[in-house]
Amino acid sequence: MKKLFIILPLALIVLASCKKEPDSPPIDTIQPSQIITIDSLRNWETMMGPTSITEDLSVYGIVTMDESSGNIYKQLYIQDHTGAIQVRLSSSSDFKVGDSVRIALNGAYLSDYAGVIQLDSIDPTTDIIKQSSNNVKNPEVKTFAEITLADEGRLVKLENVQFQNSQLGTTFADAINQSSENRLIEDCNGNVMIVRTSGFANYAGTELPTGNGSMVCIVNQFNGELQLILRSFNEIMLTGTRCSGQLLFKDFDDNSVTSGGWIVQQVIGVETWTTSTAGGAPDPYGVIDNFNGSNSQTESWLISPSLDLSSSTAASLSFENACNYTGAALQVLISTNYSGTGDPNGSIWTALTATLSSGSWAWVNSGVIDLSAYLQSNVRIAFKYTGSNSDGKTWEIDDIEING
Amino acid sequence: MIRYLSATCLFLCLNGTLTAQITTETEPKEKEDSLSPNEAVFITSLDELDNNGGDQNTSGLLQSSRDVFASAAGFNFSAARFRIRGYNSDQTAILINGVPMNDPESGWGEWFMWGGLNDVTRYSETKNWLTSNQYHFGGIGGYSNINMRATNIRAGHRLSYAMTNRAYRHRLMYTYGTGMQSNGWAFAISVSARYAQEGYIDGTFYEAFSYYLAAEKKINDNQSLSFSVIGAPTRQGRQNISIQEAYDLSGDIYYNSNWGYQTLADGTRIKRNSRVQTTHMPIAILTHDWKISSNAKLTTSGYVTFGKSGQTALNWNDDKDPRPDYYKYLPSYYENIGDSVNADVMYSNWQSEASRQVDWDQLYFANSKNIHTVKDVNGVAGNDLEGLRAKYIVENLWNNQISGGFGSTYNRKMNKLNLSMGVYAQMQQNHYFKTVEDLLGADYWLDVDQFAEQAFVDPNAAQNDLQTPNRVVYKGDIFGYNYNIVNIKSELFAQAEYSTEKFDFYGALELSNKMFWREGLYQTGRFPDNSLGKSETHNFFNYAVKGGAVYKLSGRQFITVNAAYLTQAPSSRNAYLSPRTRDFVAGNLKNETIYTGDVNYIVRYPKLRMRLTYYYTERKDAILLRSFYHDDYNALVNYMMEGVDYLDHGIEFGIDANVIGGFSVNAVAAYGQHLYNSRPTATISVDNSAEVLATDRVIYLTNYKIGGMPQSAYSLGVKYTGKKYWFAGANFNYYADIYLDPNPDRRTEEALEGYVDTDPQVNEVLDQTKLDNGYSVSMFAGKSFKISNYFLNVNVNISNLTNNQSFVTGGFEQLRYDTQNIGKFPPKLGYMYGLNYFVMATLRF
Repeated sequence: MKKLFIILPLALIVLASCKKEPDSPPIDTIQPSQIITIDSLRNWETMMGPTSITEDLSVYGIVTMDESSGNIYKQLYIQDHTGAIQVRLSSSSDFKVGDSVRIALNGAYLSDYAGVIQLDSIDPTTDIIKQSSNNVKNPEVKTFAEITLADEGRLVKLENVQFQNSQLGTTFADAINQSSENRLIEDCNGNVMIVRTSGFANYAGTELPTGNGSMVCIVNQFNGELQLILRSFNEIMLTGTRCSGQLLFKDFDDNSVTSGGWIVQQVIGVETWTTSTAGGAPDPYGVIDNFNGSNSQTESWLISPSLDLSSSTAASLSFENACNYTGAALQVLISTNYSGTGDPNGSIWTALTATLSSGSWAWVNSGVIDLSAYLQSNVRIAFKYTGSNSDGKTWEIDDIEING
Repeated sequence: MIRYLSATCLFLCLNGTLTAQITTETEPKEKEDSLSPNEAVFITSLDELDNNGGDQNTSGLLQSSRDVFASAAGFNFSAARFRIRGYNSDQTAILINGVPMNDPESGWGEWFMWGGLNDVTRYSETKNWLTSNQYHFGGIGGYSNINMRATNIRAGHRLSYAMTNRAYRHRLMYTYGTGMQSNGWAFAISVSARYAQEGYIDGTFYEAFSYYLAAEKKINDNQSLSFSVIGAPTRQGRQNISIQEAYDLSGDIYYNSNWGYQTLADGTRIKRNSRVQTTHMPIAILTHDWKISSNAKLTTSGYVTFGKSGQTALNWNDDKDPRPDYYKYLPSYYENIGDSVNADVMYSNWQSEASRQVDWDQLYFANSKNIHTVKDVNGVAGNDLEGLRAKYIVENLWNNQISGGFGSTYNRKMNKLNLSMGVYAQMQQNHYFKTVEDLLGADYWLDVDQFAEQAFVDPNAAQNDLQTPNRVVYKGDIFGYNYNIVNIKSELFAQAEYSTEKFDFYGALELSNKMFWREGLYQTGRFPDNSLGKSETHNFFNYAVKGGAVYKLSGRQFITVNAAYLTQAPSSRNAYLSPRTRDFVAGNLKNETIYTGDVNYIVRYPKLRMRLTYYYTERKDAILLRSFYHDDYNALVNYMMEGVDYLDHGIEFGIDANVIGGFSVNAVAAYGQHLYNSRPTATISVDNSAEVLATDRVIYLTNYKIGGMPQSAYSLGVKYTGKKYWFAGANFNYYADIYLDPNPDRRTEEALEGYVDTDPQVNEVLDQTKLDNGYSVSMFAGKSFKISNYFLNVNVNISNLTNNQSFVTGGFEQLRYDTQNIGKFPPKLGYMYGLNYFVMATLRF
């Protein structure tokens, strides 16, 4: 019996020690030389142009944008410590932001479209191998000025930005026709960039938020023009107070009278608002007169886009102006009930008092015109030009600025 | 073990299809796998594992053993599906009056055939594992010989009633034996009824009746003739196991997706189970006992058995999957694809009992709207039929047997030598087919194969029975598939046992021949040349030898060694790749080989019994067949592995010691390794297409653990036997090293294509899931009373006394898998029953 108490534990030890490792099929190994960085991929395309990859290479990265918002389709963006790249998929995938992935590149196609370098022909079911989930890839905080084409594909965070006044009231994209739209976003310094949103995005039909705040997006380009792509509605934190400075700024430097949502309503005659640099101006200004061989009866309104001053505590208007010749003074008017179309005379307009040029092309500032009585939505200002068959001034205006 | 595995496989297949998916909604839905008729061996479901105390309808294999290890292990470990040495019942010869009764088609002992007749089977003679055996060569798991002669029933009446909360609730049994009367006749009868309106698991019911009638006539002093008939007509609502998510959502770890509510015409709502098993396979056996001389006897028996065994299932056409735990009805499916709206819808569906079970009313409703015209019914041009074509039906999958057998054993004692010889023959036909059980309000079912309808241009390909195309079937009609498997087995056996003062020896030899063939009764549209009529006969010659020795250290202590080498014919159940549609066998159909041996140290004192054993068993070249739905091919896929080897080895230890007075302690330890031991090769084919998807695919399965059972188990118990005819005891049982059975296809080079060694998927795909160790506490007590000439026994046994409901006793990896997201198709798991009891009162008079 005693022997038993020796044999038993001994036998158990012997048996337990012959633990057998389970079998394993042959598995491919990956060598360091088979791993390529995103930056190298981009350089490869830049140098060689569109290229089919036929080697057993892999690129690792973290998914910075997925398809869940609908803003991109059959695409992912991945980023590593060297750069970021758009990945185009042969089918839609379940990969999520924060997934660390290996992409097997054999069979992939490197190309560019409208300047964007793409990793194309990736089958998400076989070529993308998830390594782990929920990796935090914090966006780089950048200002508009710091964003360049070199950031293409990268995840960035913009702070203290807002959609331009002219954009407010519109939606991110055309959800009804499912077409993409560009919207303008600006910082408080007036720098502007395009936010491009797909009509399939799940928030495409949502109105643009009116506040100011931060936004996480992917930098993209279209033939050299920078665009921002929002990766999810939840990351658009535009709920703060808008830039205390400018609500509106119109300097005609784009040689356009109507850019930024400005409207011209020609009530009488054909002479209308245009831009010019006559007189040696360094950049264009807006101008109107009624003289074309002779004076003609003219009534032409230059009307601002609708402004929402309801979140402002105070607001003011200023602009530069100059004039010459004889005729009626330029009228500066404000309305809160003009619809944006049709004869403005059907709406209620109140005259504002501005300092106007005494003539001889002398530029003067209008002075700060207080708009505090109009802190509400759908505020428009207008410049109403009037000329007769016998006379008419030439009016030049520039740097129209509404602060609030 | 292969048969065990094939049973696991059946289970996997069945459940594999349960979880199978389709790629788009317009494609046909998957159907049950091709092996469903083999329900008789479908033992992995919890309700059939409930064999505690041998009082329920499954294997009573170990209960009657007097071995100190086997009796304790059998009673205490069965709740956790422990299998001694990893063997299953196909390795144990089940004999009735000395004639082998294992099903030659599967190899399994079919205990359900005599379920409920415990008074008859209780005293079967059982010896475990490698041992001498005077009836038959036996199996490596030993043998159990049930004596069905009338004189085996003790003279007198015996009436018992049992109350339990397991598969059934009530059991009433009456047994009467005359004993051998002076006129040379003995008669015996035993009848029992078992019943549950609802068993332990929701939606299960149990209706069983059992009968035993025996007469024995003593012809003269040396010869007697006995005739016995047994049968156990049984109807039972089945359960299945599910994934953890379904248990969490339903708040019920015993969630059973098989049943649902149905509203009857009078407005009452009943629970209806979609999977109902009906069996009745009576056996009649005639035995001649001839005592030739004082030391020679000849026992000869012949038997016939015939009957039916059916299992119902839902079938459907052109509509959504009616099974409530189909994976697309689970929130996780939608969460995975980021669809929170549908995830919420599914989540709320699962909150109500009615909508997380089968919606019978919806099935009737769908059938009531489906007016459809079948053109050219039965192949007769212009014979069009308009009516409600069933979208859903309940079908019954039958495996009906006709079997006959014969056995004759001669035993002769000489001084120190005992000689035994036997000759046996068995012939069995298994008729596999299915019938329409319930049209669920529709007018007819159109018997065409929906997969083939999609996959083939040739419209004939969809026909299940080419000779009656476009066949419309009604309730009770045979449809789908229809074939016989015939097995003929013959054996010769001889054994010599020799005793000396210090040593006992035995040696035995068996020669056997087995042949089987398939006989197709339908000409299938997919395989017109290979489905109808009798197939090639497959013939196997086998031999087996075994031997052993006992060294008597003293009259109380022994060292014994046993060893055996066997070849075994493959079972016809595994040999056919897709017997429902064609005659197609494994490419390299060959015999299996078994080597096994054990060394034992045995102590037998009046107050101390002990056994310590090391055993080692290898089984080589087995076939493992699985069928499952694969959505890449949009069809049922048959997965046949050849060259599957198994290794079982380990230590068994049992001790039972009387400590003081009536107080004794017992301990049992089974430390084992039960492993796959080879790299099998797989042939993969589609059930209804001739296309072979893969041949010689290597499965890297070596050293994976065989799942679904604890590799090791331990028990410690106490028992007190009082002076006034009572006893009570309790055991604490611990189960360790439980694994999910591996999905073979995940362990292939093909599964890991595209991955490199550093990818986390490699380990996720390859690693075998180990389940938590578990425990249970069991208790038993009994008391006997004598009231004048009446004896009353009351017995109680309680399993899982502490109501431990967190122990997952087993499960399996689904055959569907997504290497990118291995959690997408989580394993199916089964929990140990909570507290359950069996209380029985027996009156003898």
